[in-house]
Amino acid sequence: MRAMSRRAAGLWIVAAAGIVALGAWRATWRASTIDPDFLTGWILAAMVAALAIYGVRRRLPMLPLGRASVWLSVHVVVGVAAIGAYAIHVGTAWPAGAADRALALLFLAVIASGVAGHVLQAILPARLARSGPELIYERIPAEVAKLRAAAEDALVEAAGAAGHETLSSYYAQTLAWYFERPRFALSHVFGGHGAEAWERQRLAAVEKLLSADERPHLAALAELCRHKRAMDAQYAIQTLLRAWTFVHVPAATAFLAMAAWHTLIVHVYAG
Amino acid sequence: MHPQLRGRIAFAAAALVLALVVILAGGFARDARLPSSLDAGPLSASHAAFIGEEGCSSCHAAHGRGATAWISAALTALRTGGPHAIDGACTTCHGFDGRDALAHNAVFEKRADLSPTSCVSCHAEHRGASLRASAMPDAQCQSCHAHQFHGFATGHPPFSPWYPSARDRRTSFDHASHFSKHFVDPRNAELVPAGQCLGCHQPQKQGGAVASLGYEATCAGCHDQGIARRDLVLMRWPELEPGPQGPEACGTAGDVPDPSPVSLDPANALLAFLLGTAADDQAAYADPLRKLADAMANKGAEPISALAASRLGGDGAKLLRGLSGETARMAACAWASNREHEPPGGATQPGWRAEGLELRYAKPGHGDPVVRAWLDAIAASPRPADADDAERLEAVRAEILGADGPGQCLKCHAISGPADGPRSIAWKQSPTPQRQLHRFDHRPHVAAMPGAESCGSCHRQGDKPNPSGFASIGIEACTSCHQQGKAPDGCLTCHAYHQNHALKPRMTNDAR
Repeated sequence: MRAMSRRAAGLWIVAAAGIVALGAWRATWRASTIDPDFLTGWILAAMVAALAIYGVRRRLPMLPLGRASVWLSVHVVVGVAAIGAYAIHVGTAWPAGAADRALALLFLAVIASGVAGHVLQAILPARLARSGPELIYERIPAEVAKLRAAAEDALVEAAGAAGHETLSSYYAQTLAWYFERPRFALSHVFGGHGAEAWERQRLAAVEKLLSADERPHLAALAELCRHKRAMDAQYAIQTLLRAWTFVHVPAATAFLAMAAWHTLIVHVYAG
Repeated sequence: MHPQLRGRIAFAAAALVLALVVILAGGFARDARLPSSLDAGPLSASHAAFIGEEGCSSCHAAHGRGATAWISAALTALRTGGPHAIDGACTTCHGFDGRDALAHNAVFEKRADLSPTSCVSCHAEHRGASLRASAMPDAQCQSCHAHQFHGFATGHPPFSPWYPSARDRRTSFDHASHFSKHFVDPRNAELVPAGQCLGCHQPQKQGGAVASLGYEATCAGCHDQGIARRDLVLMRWPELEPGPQGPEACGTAGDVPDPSPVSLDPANALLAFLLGTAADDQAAYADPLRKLADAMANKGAEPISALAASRLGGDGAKLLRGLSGETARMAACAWASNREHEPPGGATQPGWRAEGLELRYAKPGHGDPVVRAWLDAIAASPRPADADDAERLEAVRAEILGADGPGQCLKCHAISGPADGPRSIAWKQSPTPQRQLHRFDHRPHVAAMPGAESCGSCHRQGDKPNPSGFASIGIEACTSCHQQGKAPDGCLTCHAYHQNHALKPRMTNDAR
């Protein structure tokens, strides 16, 4: 971990020095045969290409191309450095042409989604670990269905033992909604206790109406709610950890296509 | 949220972008109102006004010319390292004095390290109709100029000690002596131009260099007489032992000349130089002088004209314009016969006159072509290789090219060039030597400070006057107003980057 931190620090220093040097060169540029916009544009293009290679690397995990964590570190550092290179290349003015505006919007979308994703990757895994053993994302809906079935079995058993359907009726009016599918996504993502409070309130409300025979079944139902809550947290967090890539990757791919067009056009229309 | 779905969305996004840019590439060709993937942004109003039906191809050669032209243009841009090829489109309409692709359109011989420049190094386009392509921030200038400063009033280098008058002025007018001495002399009261400065200058009608209203309007009243008093003496017959008889052509054969020389003076400097002998060495000049006199006696003015042309390099006909052959012949006959020449009539009209022992050009007027021809020829004459000859030319120059020389021309007209080499005389008052990359317009300044007194706010008489008689103008005269928050203080307020930018005839013709 410490070695990785040193490596990351080194990457950040190199990237910051490179961007500062590029900015200083651009600021003190004197009339020469090298056009500053062309040079900074090609540097930015090289950085974009390096960022795109990360996506290729992810698709080829079987190849011995180095550790994924190193690739991710490089991707993040180069991505942030690309913001500086973009500012040096474009300046502060908003592009005037339709194509350049589209390119700028796509760049902003890629950067924004990338930064957001990096922040989520830093925060959510710890929250995911706190919510319990990690479940396979694709199996969570099935696991929720199993919990729902277990809850309904508990209700049938409670009705049989008590001879009336107080608990079943209450479940149908309140808890059935909860067990229907993953709930309280936002609360789980932000680390809130909304689901827990909701459960406690609902279970406490019905507890005083139940007979002594029914209360053990309510305790079983409460345990199922606790499992459901952990499952919901897993689902919400894992969904978010996947969702940002559905913005970042398509935006990045579209940006690459637009950047290629931009590169072609600025060269064709240079004379 | 399967990765495969994400991959499909990404592929679709890229495909959509490429499809859109290709489809919309022809948008402008069909209708300028349609969005186009070739739209780099709206043109400045000045450029948008003339592109007409040519559209983008007015400047971009590859536009609408197919894949081959696109590839060629892209490769050119890659090879040259930028959009330098667009310069050719710019200079189709915009012209400058000097080379297009050099800093300030000039060769800085001491700065071999300077790279070629490109229009797009400074100028931008496609930034909207309100863009002024010629407007530049100061930082643009300071990207090359090593001396960095924040503003005109805070760090701009001081003006030269001679600002605004260059040393080599076209005319030298001593304002100080005129204002302090001549204009206050009661004898000149009626001749002094009314209106102080505005009596001779009209800065409200002129831009940079404010010339006077001209000799006739401003100087002639006082200076015509002085000019007329300074004759050009071409020949002064020197001491010469009388010969046995005068030239045969003079018809004086048999006359017995006076035994004592008619002149006891040396030759004048101009004659000595023309003869190529020392002015006071009778043994040296006797023979060529007699030959010249014989020739003049036979051919009139032609021999002296030819001699002057060969020695000075000027046009003999211009130098001796108006000298009649008879005048030359009669004078030569008289002098060769050891007599003074007495002109018939005795009238003293302006022009060539032989009288006594001199052939002179008398009573020149302002702008006299003969005096100008002599002064030009003497000034332009190269330094002779022979040291004695060079010394004689210097003597001629000292006599003729001084402020009190013929016509007093050089009292006002500047002479420039090396002291011992060919020089030139500035006969025209205008144009005043311009600093190519500087500009100053008197008009807005006069408008802001009307009245003759306003001139003195900048043009002051001081202890160390420059050739105009005024103290040099320091930067503080400008920075009192031109500073941040007051009057404009950007580089381009006073400086121009290009040398004499103008639209080329093609452009103006097309516009018509």
